[in-house]
Amino acid sequence: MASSKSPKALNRRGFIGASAAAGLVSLSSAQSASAAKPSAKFKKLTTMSPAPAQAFVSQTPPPMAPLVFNKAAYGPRPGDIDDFNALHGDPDTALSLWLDSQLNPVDAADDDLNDRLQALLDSVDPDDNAAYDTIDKTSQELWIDHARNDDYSTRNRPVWQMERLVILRAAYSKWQLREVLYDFWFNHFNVYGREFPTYGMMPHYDAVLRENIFGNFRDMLKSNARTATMLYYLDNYANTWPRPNENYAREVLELHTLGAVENYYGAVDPGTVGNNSKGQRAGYTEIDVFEFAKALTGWGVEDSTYDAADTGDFLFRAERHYDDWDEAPITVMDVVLTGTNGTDDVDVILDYLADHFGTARYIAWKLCTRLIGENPDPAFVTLVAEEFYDKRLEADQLKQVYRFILESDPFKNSWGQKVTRPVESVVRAWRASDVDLTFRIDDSRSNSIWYRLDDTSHYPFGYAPPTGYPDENAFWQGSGPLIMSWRVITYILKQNDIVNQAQQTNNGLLQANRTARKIVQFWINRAMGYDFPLDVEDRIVQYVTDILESMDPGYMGNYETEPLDTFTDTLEVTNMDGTAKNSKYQQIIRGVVGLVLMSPEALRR
Amino acid sequence: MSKNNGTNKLNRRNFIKTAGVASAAAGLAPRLAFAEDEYSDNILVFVFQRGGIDGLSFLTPMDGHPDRGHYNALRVNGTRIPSASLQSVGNGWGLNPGAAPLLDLWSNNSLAIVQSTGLPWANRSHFEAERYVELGTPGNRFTNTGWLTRHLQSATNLPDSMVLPAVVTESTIRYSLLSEPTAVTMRYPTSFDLESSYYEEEQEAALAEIYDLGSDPIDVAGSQALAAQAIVEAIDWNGYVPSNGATYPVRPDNPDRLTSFGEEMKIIAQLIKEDAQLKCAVTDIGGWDTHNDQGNLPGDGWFYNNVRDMSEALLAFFTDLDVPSPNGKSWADRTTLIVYSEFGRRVFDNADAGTDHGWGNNLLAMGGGVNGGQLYGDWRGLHDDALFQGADVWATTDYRTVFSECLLKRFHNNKIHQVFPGFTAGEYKPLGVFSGSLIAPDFADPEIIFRHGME
Repeated sequence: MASSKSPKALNRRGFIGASAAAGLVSLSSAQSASAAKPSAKFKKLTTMSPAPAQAFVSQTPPPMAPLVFNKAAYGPRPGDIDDFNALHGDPDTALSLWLDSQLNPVDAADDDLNDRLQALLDSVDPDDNAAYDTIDKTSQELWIDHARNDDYSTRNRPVWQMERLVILRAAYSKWQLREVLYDFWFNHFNVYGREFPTYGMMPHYDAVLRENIFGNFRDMLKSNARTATMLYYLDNYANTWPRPNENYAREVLELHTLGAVENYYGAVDPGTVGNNSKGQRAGYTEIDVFEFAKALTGWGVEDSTYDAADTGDFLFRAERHYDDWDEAPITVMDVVLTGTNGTDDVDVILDYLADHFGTARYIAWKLCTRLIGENPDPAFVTLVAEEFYDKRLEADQLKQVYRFILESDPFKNSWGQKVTRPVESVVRAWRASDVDLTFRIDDSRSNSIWYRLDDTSHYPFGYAPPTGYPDENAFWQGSGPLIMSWRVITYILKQNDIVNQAQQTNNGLLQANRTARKIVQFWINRAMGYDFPLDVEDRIVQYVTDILESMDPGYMGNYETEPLDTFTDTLEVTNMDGTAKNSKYQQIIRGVVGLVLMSPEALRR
Repeated sequence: MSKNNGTNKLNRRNFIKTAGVASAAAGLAPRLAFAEDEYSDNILVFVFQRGGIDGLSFLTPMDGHPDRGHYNALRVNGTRIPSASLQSVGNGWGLNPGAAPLLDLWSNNSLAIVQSTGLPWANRSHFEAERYVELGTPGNRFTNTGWLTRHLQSATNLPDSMVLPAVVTESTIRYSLLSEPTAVTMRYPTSFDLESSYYEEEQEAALAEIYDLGSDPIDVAGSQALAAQAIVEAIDWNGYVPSNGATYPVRPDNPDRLTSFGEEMKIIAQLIKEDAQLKCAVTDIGGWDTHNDQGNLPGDGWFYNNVRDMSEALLAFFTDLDVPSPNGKSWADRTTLIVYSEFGRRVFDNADAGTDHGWGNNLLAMGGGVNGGQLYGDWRGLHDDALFQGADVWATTDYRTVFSECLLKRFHNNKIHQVFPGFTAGEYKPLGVFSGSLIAPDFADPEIIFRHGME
């Protein structure tokens, strides 16, 4: 239960009256007859404050290492901050060197992750051997073995494995930036994991995206457009001439390339749309959506329809493609097609969109929103867009764009502009407390964590509309995401055997230094890499001293500065059989770790 | 770190204390006084049908209606509903068979349907259209408050402090209540708990005090979340028995469990009856984006099943609420519910036995203060000239007209200029959907309410 201190003196109407502070509804005597009184059991009062409540308040930035690990990674693991600082004495140079490495990931060097996956393969437990047995299958294998399978468990196995692999990678991969960017691009090209054929094809969809994260956007766009997953998700497999289905055409324009933020002109004559600074038609209209849908007719999947084989591969059906060239060409913005050129009809348009400055601006804005914060400075977004546009023909275009953003002053000054979303909060806690669990299917502990993550409504592939999970603080600062994220974190911290916090404390502090104050400071530093405000640190210390006092009231010494050995056996970290001991010491420390990981600081990035 | 340390940062407490000047600067109309009245007791429930429900398959012209012939010519690919299957509501119109449970509400005049409502211009993007509807500012997608947020802010008859005034029965906020600091987003009440164990009380007390130390948006959010958790924890969710034998719909594959929408309506009903000063509830029902195999009829029709689920849940909701409340009225009489969607769908179906995005659509109004049992709105017909771009039902009533009328008549909030900035007196053409004593709407120029963050 929350404390019974008087409620915050925040008041919706701007009046801090005595009645509000006392927690009663103010009723004038004249109205008491008609107004309802709340049930007596609600002693607590939610006082209110006027909106808007999401204004960004500038924060003193922490040092470079924690800034980078919380904004461009999933949070530091013990040792990460020291390793970063060891790269170079000058923080900007250290960042640059870190990026040199992170922008060029080497899968073979991803030791912790690879070792964990290998350990599953080497395990005597057959469930563990098979825990990730679909992730390397070819797309045809996935289609035939899984997507087409009647059995519920078999067809969903790939998506279930991938859901956990995403979390596993975020928790343990050395290539943290890649994981952050993968999350960005997956949401950009969002699909819903629990429908046909995605539940069976997810490893392939994932692989196609990942291949292009550090490459060129054009390749990402064109390869994504050919996946059975995307062709089904947005109905293009059913887009045929003469009755086209415009769903995919619309979303490519609205979500994947130009975006509707600046570049959608609605139901107007395309001829009235002017040009942008690069001399390109500035945006798209409803007519362009329809025309693009015409161009996309015939793009489908080899899925046994129309006498095709059943492989799940991309298939262009020329006989289902637009063929009224005598009536009218296809015109999508500046692109005019006058006769069929098979799949080139679409590729020409996709190239055009990849080359479009509107696309550069939209993606620049989205990347800045993700990496920097809400409402990024428009002038800076334009600079990023120019970089995206200038490098649009280069094989490492995206790598250059990321570097441009991450080495910028806006990035370095953006601490606290974002609030962590549930997966980010949970993985941050996972890494900070050095949890030792190879998250996977068919493992009861993983399942228990999974159910709770599911309850946050923010889990991989779980967002049904194509817009992907929102990236606005207003969504994630709500009571639902906060309480449900914290619920996952507290659950994980209770699993002593995979996260022995008492043991970690003892490994980090000499016995004489295991004072309340020093333990709290140890965990703050370990989890966040910088100091908390003193009053927050004080209150966490008080949590410990209050408990110690209740164990030994009237003790005349100093709970804060004397080692905890005085009050509880701090050597009680493991049982006789080596398993973690759930001693009072462990429980107290768990509370400290929880407070650190649920504090306001832990929500900032 | 945001603290009262003299730097040029926004401190919420100081801001609130100097409310008269500061709040005006932030664009909030300072309320010098409030007075509760009978309208303060009323509750607004907003149900959003995600995906753009096919209004023409929900309320359909029957044989004899002048548009039946056009309907038959437009719906040729597996979406046509035979006239004999429709549930008549008079004037040649009939409800989808799945909506049969709503006929009870229709015949006791608790359900009104407003046809041909929509945004002021067609927007066939889900993403854009639903934002415009819920933010209440068509054309401006960067508004950082929802229409219900601004209703709660501007109403002069709500108390200073309320226990649980706004709830969203989803895991994340909906645009209608965007930036409402008191909005509790909660999909599973019994799981809405930290569950820390061992020194749980000490830990939660410490956490609450830590969040109270600061005053930036994250601190406020954390404080509110913890307070909300305490309140939700005090309610006996598992012991709840709906009144009057109300039966919320169950899942076909798991009859021991209610459908998702059924669960959510039951949560709202229970919260209302807990007398926790709930003023606004927002919930979703999804699955309406029927581009393929729409299935309008019984026998495993997707759309039919969805309509049935929705209708059963709404009937159960009002049945459940039909018990006396402390002020003498029944809870059902105190509760007004609006069902709406971001747009309707095209009048002609597509090659995949489905429909694509359109414009004009139905709005359902139910419950207390609704002049039900009638159709409202200016239905222009299905002939080619009556349609927008020969494809969509024309929206002849701006949805804000209906929402405004509801706020005016049921909640006595006349600050229309604040709730729907940009909506002018000339555009407000109330249809008489709601009953309640007249109060003159206030369309005066709004103060600047919208920002992208406080500077």
